[in-house]
Amino acid sequence: MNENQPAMTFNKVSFAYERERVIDEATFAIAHRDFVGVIGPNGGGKTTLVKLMLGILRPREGSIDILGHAPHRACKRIGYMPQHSNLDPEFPVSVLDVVLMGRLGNVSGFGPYKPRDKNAALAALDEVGLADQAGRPLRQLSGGQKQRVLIARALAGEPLILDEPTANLDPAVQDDLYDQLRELNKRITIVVVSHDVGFVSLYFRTVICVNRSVHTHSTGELTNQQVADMYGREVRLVHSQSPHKGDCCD
Amino acid sequence: MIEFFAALKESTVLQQALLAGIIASVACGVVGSYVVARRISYIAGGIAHCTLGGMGIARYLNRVEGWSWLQPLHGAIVAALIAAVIIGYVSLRARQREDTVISALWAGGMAIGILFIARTPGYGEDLMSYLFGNILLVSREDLYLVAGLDVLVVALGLMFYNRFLAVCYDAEFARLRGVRVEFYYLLLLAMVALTVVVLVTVVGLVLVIALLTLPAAIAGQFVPRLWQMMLIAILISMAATSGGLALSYAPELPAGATTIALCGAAYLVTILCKRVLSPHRRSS
Repeated sequence: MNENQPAMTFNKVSFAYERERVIDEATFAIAHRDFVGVIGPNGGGKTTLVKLMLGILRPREGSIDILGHAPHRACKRIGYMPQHSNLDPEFPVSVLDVVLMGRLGNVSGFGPYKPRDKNAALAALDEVGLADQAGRPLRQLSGGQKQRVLIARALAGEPLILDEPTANLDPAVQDDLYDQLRELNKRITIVVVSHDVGFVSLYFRTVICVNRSVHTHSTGELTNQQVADMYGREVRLVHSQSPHKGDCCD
Repeated sequence: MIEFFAALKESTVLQQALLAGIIASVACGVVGSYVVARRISYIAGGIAHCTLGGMGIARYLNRVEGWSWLQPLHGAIVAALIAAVIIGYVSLRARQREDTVISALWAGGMAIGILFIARTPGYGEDLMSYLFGNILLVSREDLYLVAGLDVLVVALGLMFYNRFLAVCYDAEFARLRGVRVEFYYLLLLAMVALTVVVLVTVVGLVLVIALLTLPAAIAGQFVPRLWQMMLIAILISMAATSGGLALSYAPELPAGATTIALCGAAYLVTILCKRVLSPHRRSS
């Protein structure tokens, strides 16, 4: 992997489900080991943008490149974390069972997982601080722990794309989760989709605002005082790189 | 009970019936656990009722057209597989229409079956045995067929365990990891179809859903992982089919209904015990 190449580039990508465009000429690049927040109003196209990144949807116009491949070819190498609220909370699996699902792309054909896969899964659990929970039933875990399990499962790939990782979590648990992501970010590229703009200035280095049109900003250096002053109005902290004003998320 | 064990030594009919129940329980435990985990018992119900159409047509061709090689069980296999493919295709392509299509197949399959049975000379007792099962009518050929289907279903269920688990839990993620989700989902439904046919011979098509889901649901109360559910569900299912046969023998009750009543009672007792023993935990 060439570190100088961007991890992901969108080149004039447009997408429409019917006639009306949901994503209009999105052009941006995400650098290696960047920490990116994808924000914007509900219905603005955040989910569509993620589905384009994952290759679940194909662009009507333009091109997407992830690690040198089209998304539908690269998707096996991407680490994706869906919202855990979309999954059955009573499903009969252990924590390790779930994390092992991340190894499916590496296992060919049928049969049980190899010791190599189990070791990789345990290492991923260790990285999110849940090594001692491997054998526990998933249904006994708290919401925050379940999110960490899904992050561990996604760690089989890179870049890490997370869909609303803090939805339905207590504020303290949300902070823990973002601290965790910041730790992981030392090693891998992270893209977080969030409708919660409260984290924009605190954690993200780059912000992608999606509201049909797509604009990229870098978050500036911030002092504690500034954060304290402006907590809750972080959108103002988005420093615009382009002529576009940082108002898409208001 | 004592009469049952005495008769079991003498009667090959009873031995075959017992064996059919035990063999069917293996597929029942494996596939039933997938059905409960993925919450598709309604699909299993639709497939089960559809088999009446296949059995009715096969019996008609056998009796009226003289296709002596064609048994009702063959018709059931074909009908169940067709139903599984249609339901699977619709649920993958047009999610919002799934329940309508299942209902249509459910009732439509039964209607076709009843029409063909009405046009076939003979008494309605066959109809009763299709609907509510008559394990004592299981022939040696049926037993071979049931055993063959059993081996097939269990082998597939264990061979692709990891893939089925991933597809059932989070299909979108499995697809991103390169798993052919559509293929495995359709394969799972085909296995449900074959298991339903196996169980129809034991308890009849109306009672199939109970035998498919209740042992797995009971098992799910005690163990947290799918393969553990499968093992326990197999044992529960064996106990229920054997127990149903034994209890129904002396008073000459229908064995299928006795089996299902046992399952239902066990499920009820399990839930009540769990509530009483752990009042603070939410029962699932």
